Formats: sequence, C-alpha cells, structure tokens
Amino acid sequence: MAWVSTLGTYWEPTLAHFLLLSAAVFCIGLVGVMVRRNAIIVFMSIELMLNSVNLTFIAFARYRFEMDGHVFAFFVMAVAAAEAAVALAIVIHVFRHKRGVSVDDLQELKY
Amino acid sequence: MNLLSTLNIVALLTPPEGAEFIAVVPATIVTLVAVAFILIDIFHRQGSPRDYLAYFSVIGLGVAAASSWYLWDSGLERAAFFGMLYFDQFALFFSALACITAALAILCSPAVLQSNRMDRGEYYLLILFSVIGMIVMAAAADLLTLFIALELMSIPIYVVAGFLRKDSRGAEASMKYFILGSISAALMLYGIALIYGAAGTTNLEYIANNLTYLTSTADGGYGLVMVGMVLIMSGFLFKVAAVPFHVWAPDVYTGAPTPAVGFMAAAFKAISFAALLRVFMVAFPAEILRGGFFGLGWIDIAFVAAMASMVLGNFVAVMQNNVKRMLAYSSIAHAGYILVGLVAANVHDQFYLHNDAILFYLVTYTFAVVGAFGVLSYFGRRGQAVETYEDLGSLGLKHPFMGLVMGIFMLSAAGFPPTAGFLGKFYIFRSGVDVFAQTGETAMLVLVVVGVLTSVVGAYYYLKVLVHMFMKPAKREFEPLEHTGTRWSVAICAILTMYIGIFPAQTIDISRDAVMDMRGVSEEVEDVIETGQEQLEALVEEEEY
Repeated sequence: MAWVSTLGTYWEPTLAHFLLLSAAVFCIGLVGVMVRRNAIIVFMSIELMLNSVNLTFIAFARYRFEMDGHVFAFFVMAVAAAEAAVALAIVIHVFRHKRGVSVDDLQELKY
Repeated sequence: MNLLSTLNIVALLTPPEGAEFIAVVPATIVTLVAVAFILIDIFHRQGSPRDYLAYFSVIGLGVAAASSWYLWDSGLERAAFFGMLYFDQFALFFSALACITAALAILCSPAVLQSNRMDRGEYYLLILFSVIGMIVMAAAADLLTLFIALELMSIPIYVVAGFLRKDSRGAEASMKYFILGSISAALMLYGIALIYGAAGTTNLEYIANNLTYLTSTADGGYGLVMVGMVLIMSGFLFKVAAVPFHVWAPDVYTGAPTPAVGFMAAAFKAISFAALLRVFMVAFPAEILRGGFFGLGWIDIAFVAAMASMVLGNFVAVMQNNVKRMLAYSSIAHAGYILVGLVAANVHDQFYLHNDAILFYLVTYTFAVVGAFGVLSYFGRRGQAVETYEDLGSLGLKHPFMGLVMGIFMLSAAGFPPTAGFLGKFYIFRSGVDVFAQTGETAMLVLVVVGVLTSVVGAYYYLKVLVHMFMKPAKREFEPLEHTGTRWSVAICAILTMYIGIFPAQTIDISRDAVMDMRGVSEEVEDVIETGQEQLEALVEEEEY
C-alpha cells in the first residue's frame, strides 16, 4: 500500500496523467457513440470526444509553455458549438419523421 | 489628430504584409457573394421562383473561378498570414475546380427544389459556404486552418443532405452523415493533437522539420507521431469515401437531393485529396513515416485502402439495383483508383511529378459525376423520380439529348476512349507501371493489375445504365423536370468530358503546373521538380527546332 502514504504529501500530476485521462475520456466518448441508441446521447458522446481532445491540447501547451494549443482549443470549442446547433436541428428533423430519436429507427436506407 | 497618433490607428489597420491579402481573393469573392445573397434573399417576393438567386450564385462562383485563373501566375513564395495559408497554383487549381463544380451543381438545383416545394435560398447559401471551406482547405498551411476549413466544408453539407424536409430518407441521410462525419472529425482532431504534442507546432513545414529530427534521434515520441498520423489519415479517408471509412456514402447519396450529391461526390473528393496530398507531402515526408510497401507508413495505409476500395466498391456496385446507390459505390471505387495514383506518385520523392495524374483524374471524374447526377435530377420529379434501373427504361429514346449526355458520362466513368475518363485512368495506371518499371516493386504491379481488372468489372454496371436507357421497354411514364439550368449544366459537363478526352494537353499542362508549384514540400522534392522543369524546357526547345 505504498500509494496510500503518498496521498497526504504534495503530489503534482504530470503530462502523462493528463494524456491518459484525455485518452480515457476519448475512448468513453467513442464507445458511447457506438453503443448508445438515443441520438441526443450519441451527440453528447461526440462532444465528449471533442472536449477530451481539448484536454490533450491544453496539456501539451502547458507542458511546452506555448500558446498554440490554447488557441487551438478555443477554435475547437467554436466548431463544437456550430456542430451542436446543426445536430439539434437534425434531431428535430428526424423526430418529425420518425416520432422518436433512436438511431435504430434509421433503417430506410440499407444495403 | 493628436489622439489619432497616440492610438496609432493607422498602424493597427495596416496589415502585417499588405501583399498577403491576395492569398484570400477567391475565398473572399465567394464570401461576398454569399453575404450579398443573404441580402438579396430578404427582398425576395414570396411565391415567385428563386431561379435568379441560383443564377446569381453561379455567376459569383464563376467570378471566383475566373479570379483563380487571373491570379495563376502571382503566387506567394511563402505561406501567408504567419504561415497559415499557401497561395500557389496547387491551391488555385482546386479553388477553381471547387467553384466550377458548385456552379454546375447549383445550375441543376432549382428544378429539383421547386418540384419538392422546398424552393429556399438557404440551399444555395449553404453550398456557397461549403465552397469557401473547400478553397481554404486546399490552401491550408497549418493544421489549424485545415481543421477549421474541413468543418466549414462539411457542416453546411450535413444540412444540405436533409434539405428536402418532406422526404424522410433525407432526414435519415442527414443524421447518418452527421454522426459519422463528426466522429471522423473528432478522430482527425485527436490525431492533430498528438502530432502537436510530438512536434510542438501545428505548422506543416515546422512539423516536417521537427519530426525529421525526432525520428532520426529515435528518442521517444515516435509512437505518438505514428498514432497521430494514422488518425489524420483516417479522417481524410472518410472524406474521400475510401474503404473502410465508406459506409456513409451509399446512404447519403441515396437520401440527399440529387444535384447536391453531384457536388458532394465530386468536390469533396477532389478537395480532400488535395489536402491529403498537401498535408502528407509537406508534414510527413520523412522516409520512416512514409514507409512505402510494407514499411507500414502512410503509403502502405493508402495502398491497403486503395486495394480494398477498388475491389469492394466495384463488386458491391454490381449488386445494386438503385442507380444512385450504384453511383455511390462506384465513387468508392474511383477513390480507390485515385489512391493508386497517390501511392505510385509519393512512394519515393523521385516520382513526385506523377501527382499530375491525380489532378487530371479528379478533373475528368468531376465532370462525369456532376453530369450523371444532373441527368438523374432531370428525371427527378417528386413522386416519380428515377430510382432503379427499370425506371430508366427507354428514357434515352424518349429524351435523346439526355440519353446522349448520359452515355458520355457513363462511358467516361467506365473509362472508354475517346472520353476524358479513359485518359484519366490511363495516366493513373501508367504512373503505377512506371514506378514498377523503375523500382521493381511487385506490390505496385499487383495494385495496378487489380485496378485494371476491377475497372473492367466497373464497365458492366455503367453499361447496364445505357442498356436500360436505350434497349429496355419503359415500365412507367416519367415526366421530366424541364429546366434550362439543368440542360445547360449537363451540356457543359458533356462538352468538357469530350473536349478533355480528345484534346487533353491543356488540362494536363495545368495539372502539371499545379503540382510543380506546390509550396512547402521538402528539399528533395524541390530538386525533383527542378529537374522536371529543366527536362520540360529541353523538350519544348526540341519541338521548336
């Protein structure tokens, strides 16, 4: 139980911790897109993926004491907002036709 | 006055490099057209058709294409706006191509929109915005500009895919395209983040410098670069609809408005290949990253994708009954052929000049596919649109003009002489054979042989369209969508397809110039270009004597 003793002491996360966290969040988002059936939750998962990328950018930028990564993160946020606006419009569009927003309903176009 | 000098307004307003603003001229023209379009649309009288708005945007796009032509020789040596945007003949080539494709697709659109009672100005506006993204994407010199341009190109088209809102298939296509497109954008973005982490910059040329250092020292970070590169590649392969990232194409092509599909199929592919070529040749030219023929770098990824796209695209297209779906799978196959050219031209620096085959192929493919979807939109009246092969029965006899142009497009897509498609395929496969002859790589020969054999398979389903149009009886009556715009659009496509097929020299010269003028490539490639230029000049002199 060596790690317990380190809890009380001063401990600083390193670059690797941030990268592992963002990779984990990215994978959660990817799995969410694949297994969830509700379109809204699928979009939330996509946002999760984009935000985990932001975390990667920020971590690298902080690690290198640069501003490039910070700027990139802002651009990604703006793009994510634009995507969300279009996404909700598409969800409403689908809801009008299918009376639901499950991705299982999208079966008209196949093979 | 005193206040003015203290605030130094003049200095604030003076751009860093006044001359650099030339780099955004085509994009600015399209932007101004789009803004003017919004203003004109406000004053539109309800109930009257919006044909004039379509013609207005076509003229605007024509001006933008003409400006690219006019600026052809005034490229900038270095990337403008602090290394954000290249301005060279390569970028101008693709900005002109994107504008012309969009103009031809827009010309076909008013009839379809009016027939579906969705005659709205937003449709043209969204296509204009998408074109702005395309122009910037072909010129991107930084991964930041690349990503913004990619999203600007894609997001409007997610909406356009579901534009006919009374059609439930449009909604489905839009949703599927959006979900898959966003995932691919997110994957690509993660790749960009990892490359940024490894190289410490997002500028393509600096990435090349830093990565060459990083990979030569064999100090950590190599795995990071590899993963990032593969993720960026997957984003591009999605946009060009290459296997294994092709699943969206058939569904979106079937559900989206027919003229918009022509635009999507042609322009997206062209611009994505342009950006792919630029990013990978400028940022990842290092031998270890390229890894031609099973050193497992990006050339090998393209190799596998090319093989899979050609085989799967062609054989699944044979099994289709819906014509638009068949064209979707055939566009996957075409992505495969272009990837063959990409692999051949970039496997070693010395073959760099073979890239002109890709540009030439993209031009020939553009006119054939936009024209084919234009003909389908001509028979696209709401409620009685042509869907399957049976629906096409004897339409070519009843409408001889449409039958004739469809024949030209199908023969061009299948690669029959004397159409442009034949020469496009010829140059692609010739560059592959040339690489095989010079390096003796069997893998290259296998790829070319597979390409030739699968394009023979492709001839079957293209000719099937013509067989149904001219030899099979009609199953039901079709009332076509008579519209001057559609007629002009398909006529222009057909004339260009035949013209390029018979007099290809001009187009080939332009493609070669564009490839030779690409900025930011490594020094080895620049040497190759210089040698090529000298040889060309010697050839011209020889002819003069």
